[in-house]
Amino acid sequence: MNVIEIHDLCKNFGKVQALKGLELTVKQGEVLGFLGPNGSGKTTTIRVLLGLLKADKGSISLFGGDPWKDAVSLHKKLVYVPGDVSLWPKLTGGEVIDVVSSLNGGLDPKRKNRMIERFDLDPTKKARTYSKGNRQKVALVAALASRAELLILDEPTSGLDPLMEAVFTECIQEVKKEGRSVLLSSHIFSEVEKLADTITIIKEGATVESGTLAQLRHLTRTHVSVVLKKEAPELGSVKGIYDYTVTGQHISFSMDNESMPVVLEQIAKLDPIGLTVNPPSLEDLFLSHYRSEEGAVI
Amino acid sequence: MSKTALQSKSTPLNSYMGAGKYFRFTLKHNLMRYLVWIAVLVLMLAYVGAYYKTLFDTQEKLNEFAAIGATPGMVAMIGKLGNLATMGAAVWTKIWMFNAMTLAIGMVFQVTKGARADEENGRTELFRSRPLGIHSTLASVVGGALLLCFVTGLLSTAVCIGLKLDPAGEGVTGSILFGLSITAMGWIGVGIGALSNQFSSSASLSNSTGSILIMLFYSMRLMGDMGTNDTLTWLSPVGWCERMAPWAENRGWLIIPVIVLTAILIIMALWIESRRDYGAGVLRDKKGRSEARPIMKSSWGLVLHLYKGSIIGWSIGIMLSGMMFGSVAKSMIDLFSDSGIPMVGGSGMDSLLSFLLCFVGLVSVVEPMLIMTGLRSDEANGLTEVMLAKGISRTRIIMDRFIIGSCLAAIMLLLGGLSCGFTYGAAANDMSQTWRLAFDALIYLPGIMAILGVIVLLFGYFPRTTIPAAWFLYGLMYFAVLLSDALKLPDWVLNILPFIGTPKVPYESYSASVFGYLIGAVVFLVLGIAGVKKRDIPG
Repeated sequence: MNVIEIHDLCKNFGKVQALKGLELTVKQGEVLGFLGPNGSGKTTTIRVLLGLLKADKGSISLFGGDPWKDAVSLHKKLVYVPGDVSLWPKLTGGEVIDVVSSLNGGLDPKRKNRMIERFDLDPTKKARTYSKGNRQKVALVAALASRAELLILDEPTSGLDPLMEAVFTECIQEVKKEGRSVLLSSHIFSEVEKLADTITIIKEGATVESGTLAQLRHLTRTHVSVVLKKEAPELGSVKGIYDYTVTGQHISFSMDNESMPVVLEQIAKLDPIGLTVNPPSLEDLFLSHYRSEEGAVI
Repeated sequence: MSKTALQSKSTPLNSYMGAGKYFRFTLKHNLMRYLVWIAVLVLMLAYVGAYYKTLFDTQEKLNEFAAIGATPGMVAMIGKLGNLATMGAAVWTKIWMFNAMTLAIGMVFQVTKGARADEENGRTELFRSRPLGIHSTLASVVGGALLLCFVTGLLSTAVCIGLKLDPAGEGVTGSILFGLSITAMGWIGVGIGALSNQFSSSASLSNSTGSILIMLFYSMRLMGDMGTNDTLTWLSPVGWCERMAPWAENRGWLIIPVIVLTAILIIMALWIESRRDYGAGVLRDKKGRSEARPIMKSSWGLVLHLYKGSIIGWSIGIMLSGMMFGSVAKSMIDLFSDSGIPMVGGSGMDSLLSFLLCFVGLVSVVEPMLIMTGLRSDEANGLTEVMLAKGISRTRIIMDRFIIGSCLAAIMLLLGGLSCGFTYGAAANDMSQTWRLAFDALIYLPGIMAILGVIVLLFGYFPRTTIPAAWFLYGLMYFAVLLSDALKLPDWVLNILPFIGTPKVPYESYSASVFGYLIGAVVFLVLGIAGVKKRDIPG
C-alpha cells in the first residue's frame, strides 16, 4: 500500500507556477529521499500534502485520503518537522513539545525523555534563547518520540552538528525497522544515500527522476580509471565511452552501463595493471540533472 | 474513531478539531495580557466613577458638567446622550467612548496577534500538521477575545452598580447597558479583526486595515452626531453601541444588530479561511524590484523606505484629524454665537484650540515613536546584527532614527496644525489662523524629542523594556491629557510629561520651559548611545 501518492500535481501562486505536474510515491515502510535545489517546490509539495495549500490540479492521496478535506483525521497518523522551525518565544522547549503533541494524544513520557537525552536538548530553556539547531531539535524530538505512521521531514538536519546528524540517522533507521514511513526532503546527499530506499529528484516543480539508488545509477555513467603497463594509446571511437583522457600510463573515462561488456573487452586488450570503477554518487546524479542544460555532462 | 473519521467525508466539525485544546492553550498563553486589558479598562472606569461621585456632589454641578457634555465639540468626540444631567451620564461622557474604542481597536490587535501573526511567522504550521482543524486557531482566538470583551463588560456593569451610578428607583438598567455597550464595541472589533485577518498575508497590514475600518465607523457616527440628520450614526456599528445610551434612552435592543453583524463578520472570515491557502491572504503579495534603489543603500534611506507606508498613512491621518478638530471648533463657535454665551473667540476659544493642538501632538508622536522603538524590534529579530556587520556604527543607527523621527515630528505637527487652522480659519473667516496654529503646534516638538530621547535611554540600558515602557509612557500621557481633571497624579509628575508640561498655546503663552525638554532630549540621547556602545547586542 502506498502511504503517499501524488500524480500530476500543479500549484500556482498567481502567475508563478510552483509545481508543474509533480509525481511522488511513498510506499508503506520506506524512506523516500526528496531532492531538489532551493525553490524547486519541495516545501510547496509538503505543504500541499499537509493540507495547508490547496492543489490546483492533480491527484494527491495521503493514507488513501484527501489531505485538503481530511486534514484533521489524516494528521493523527503523521508528524512533521518544518525546515524553518518557529516556536513561541516565551514557552520552553519542553512545553512546546508537549503542547504540539497533545493534539495527537500526547507522548509516552519515557520515549520523550529518551529522545530529549539522545538529542542533548535542554527542555527547560525558553524557545527565544534557542539557536536554529536547538529549535530544530525541539521539533525533531516531538516528531521522533511519537509513534506516527508517517514522518514528513523538511530538511530536518540543516541546523544540526555532525554528532546530532548521526543521532538523527540512527533514529530514522529505527523508524524504518518499525515499518513506519518517512518523506525526507534533504540537501545532504550522504544522509539520503544512507537512509533512503527510493529517491525522487525534482526540478522546477516537476519530477525528473525517481527510483531506488541502484535504478538511478543504472541510468547514469560509471567512472573508470585504468593504469597500464606501457604508454596508453589513443582509443579511437568506441561506442559507450565518454570523456576519454590519457596522461602517460593512466587513462580515465566514463561509460554507459549497457556498453560495459564491450568496453571492458577493449580495456583487457590494453594490458591493464590497475583498475578503479566508481559508480556515480548521488551527488553526480543530482548534478547531472541540473547541469545538463549548461552542457556540462558527466 | 480514526477509521470512521478517515472514511467519512470532511465534516464541518472536523474543521474545528482540537479547537478545545487550542482554546485552552490560547487562554493560558494570553492570560496575563487578558487580565491587563480587563484591569486597565475596568479600573479606569472605577477610578473616574469614584472621583466623579465626590466631585459632583450637587445636582447643580452635574447640570454644569452636562452643559459642557452637550457642546458640539464634546458630542463630536464622545457621542450623544439624551439626558446628560445624571451621575451615570457624567461618567459615560468622560470615559465611555474612550474605553469602548480602546477595546474595539485592541481586539483587532488581539485577534491578529493570535491568528495572522502566528501564521505569518510560521508558528501555526507546526500545529496545523497535527490533527488541528483549519478553523481551530482563528476560532480559539476569536472565542478568547469575545470572552475577554464579555468579562470587561460584566465587570464594568459591576463597577457601575457598586458605585450606585443608577438613579434611585430605576433599578440597574443603566449599569447593565453601560457594560453591554462596552462588550458590544469589543465584539465588533473582534469581528472586524477576524475578517481583516483574511485579506492580507501581513499581520501589520491586517492591524491597520481593521483599525482604519473602526476609525471610519467612528467618523461616520461623528458626522451623524454633528449634523441635524443622524442617519450616518445609525448606519455605523460604533453608532449602535453609542446609542444604547445607558441612563438615558436605554436602547438595549441595539445589542441584536451588533450580535448579528459580529456573527456575519466572523462567518465571512471563516468562509474565506476555508478557501484560502495557509499563509496566504485574499490579496496577493506583489512582486517588488530586483534591485535596491540608491537611496536604500544609505542607512537613513533604508529607514525611510521601511517606514514609507506608515509615514504616508500617519501623515494623511494627522491631516484628517486636524481638519476634523478644526471643524469641530467651528461648530462650537456657532453654538456659542447662537446661545449668546460671552466666550466667543476669546480665551474660551483659545482654550479649546490649545486642547485640540495637544491632540495633534499626541497623534504626531506615534510615527516617530514607531521608528524609535524599531531600534529594539530590529535588534530582537537580528536585523541590527546585519546592519552592524555591514560596518554601520551603533551611534549612526541610533542617530539616523532620532533625526528622522524628530524631522517627521516637526512635519506632522506642522501638517496637523495647518489643517486644523485651515478648517477653523475658513469657518471663522480668519485665514491667518492657518499659520498661527501651524506654528503653535510646533511647541510640542521639544517634548516629542525628549520622548524619543527616553526611548534611546531605555534602549541603552534596559533594551527588553524599551517597547512596552515607551508605549506605557504614551498611554500615561494620553490618559493625563484626556482625563486631566480625573487623573489625580502629583503635579511634578504631570509637569514632567511632555504633553502636560508644554505650555498650552495659544491659551497659555510661550515659555522657555520647553527648552528644558530639548536639553533633556540631548542628555538622554548621549547617555543612551553611551549605554548601547557598552552593552552586548544579543544575536
